[in-house]
Amino acid sequence: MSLSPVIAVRLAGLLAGLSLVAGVAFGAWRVPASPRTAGLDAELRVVGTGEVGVAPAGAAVRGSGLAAGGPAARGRVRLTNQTAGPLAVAPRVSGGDPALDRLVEVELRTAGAVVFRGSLERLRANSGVAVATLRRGGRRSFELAVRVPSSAGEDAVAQAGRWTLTFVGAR
Amino acid sequence: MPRTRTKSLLRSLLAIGAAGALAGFGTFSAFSSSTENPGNKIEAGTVVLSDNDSGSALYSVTGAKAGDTVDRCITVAYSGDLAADVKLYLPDAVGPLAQYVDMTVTAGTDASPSFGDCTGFVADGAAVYTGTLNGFRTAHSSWANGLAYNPGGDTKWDGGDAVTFRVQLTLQNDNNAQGKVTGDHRLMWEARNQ
Repeated sequence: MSLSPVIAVRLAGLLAGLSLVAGVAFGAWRVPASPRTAGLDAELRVVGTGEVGVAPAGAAVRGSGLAAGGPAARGRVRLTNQTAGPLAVAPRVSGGDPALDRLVEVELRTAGAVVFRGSLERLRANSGVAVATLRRGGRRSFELAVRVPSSAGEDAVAQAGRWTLTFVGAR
Repeated sequence: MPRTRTKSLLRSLLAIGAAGALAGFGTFSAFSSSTENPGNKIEAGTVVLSDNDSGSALYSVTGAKAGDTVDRCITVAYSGDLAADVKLYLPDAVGPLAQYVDMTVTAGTDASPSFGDCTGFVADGAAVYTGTLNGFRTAHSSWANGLAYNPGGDTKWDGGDAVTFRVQLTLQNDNNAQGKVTGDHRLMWEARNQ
C-alpha cells in the first residue's frame, strides 16, 4: 500500500510542525535560570606568624572575575625571619573551599625565580616544603600570582573563594 | 490539478499551524512558580597561634648568682580567621627556686623582632605582671586563670595581630636561694575563639 502524494505532503507538513514546536519548547526549557558572573573571584590573604613576619599583611592578591585561561591577579609581600637563627620557610594554605582548590593556580616567585607554580590543591598538599631560606633577621620579597587555568573551563564561573597563606618554618 | 495542489498545500500549512498552536499553547500556558535558596555551604574557621622561638627556650640559666637578670623577648602572632582571646599561663609546676625569682612580663611591639632580642621592643603601657615566678604560677596556671592580653587595647585578636612579650627575671639576693632550681617549665600562650 502506498500513500498518495497529497497525504504524504500533509503528513510531512504535520511532522514538520510538530518538530518545530518541540524545538521551540526544548529551547525555552534551556534558558538559564539566573545570570552568571564572568569568572572566579579570588582573594589570597598573607598573614604573618611568630616566625615569619609579613608586610603588608592582609589581602595580597585580589582577583575579580578571573576567567579560565585569562590573565592573573598579582601581588607582592615581604617576609622577615623573626627567629634567632636561619629559617627555611614553607607556604601553608588554609581556609577557602577545598573543592575550589583545583580551579586556582598560584605562582610564587622570589629573586627572579619561580619557587612554586601549581594548583592550590597541590600547594595545600605540599605544606611544609621549603621555598626559601632566610638568614636571621633576613627579609625577602615574594611576588604572588593567582590565575584560573584554562583546564578549569566553566567550573570557575560564578565562584568565589578566600584563602589564607602563611609562611612557617620548614621541618 | 494545480488548484488541488494549492489546496493541499494550504491544508498542510493549516495543519502545521494548528499543531504548532496547540503544542505551543500546551508548552507556554502552564502557570509556574519556583523559589530557591542557593549557595549553601559551611566552612569552619581557624584559630592559629604561633611564636618565633623555633623550639628554643626563652631562658635557660645555670649557675645564676644573686642579682643576675635575664631579659628576653618573644613574639606571638595570630593567623587564624576567627576573632580570639589569647591568654598566657604557666602550666608546669615550678621548683623551690621560683619563689626567689622576681618576674616582670611586659607586652608591646617590635618592628623587627628577633627571638630573645629586646632591642626594638616598645612597651604597650605598664607591665602586665610583676611578682615572682612562683606567684605567676600560682595566679596563672591554666586557661581558666590565664593572663589575658589583647593587642593595642583591642578586645580581641584578629588574623595578622602580633604581640611581643618581654620577660625579665631576676634572682633575689636571698641566701635561701642557693642550690635550688625552678625545674623546666613552659610559658604557654593559648588562643580560643570568641
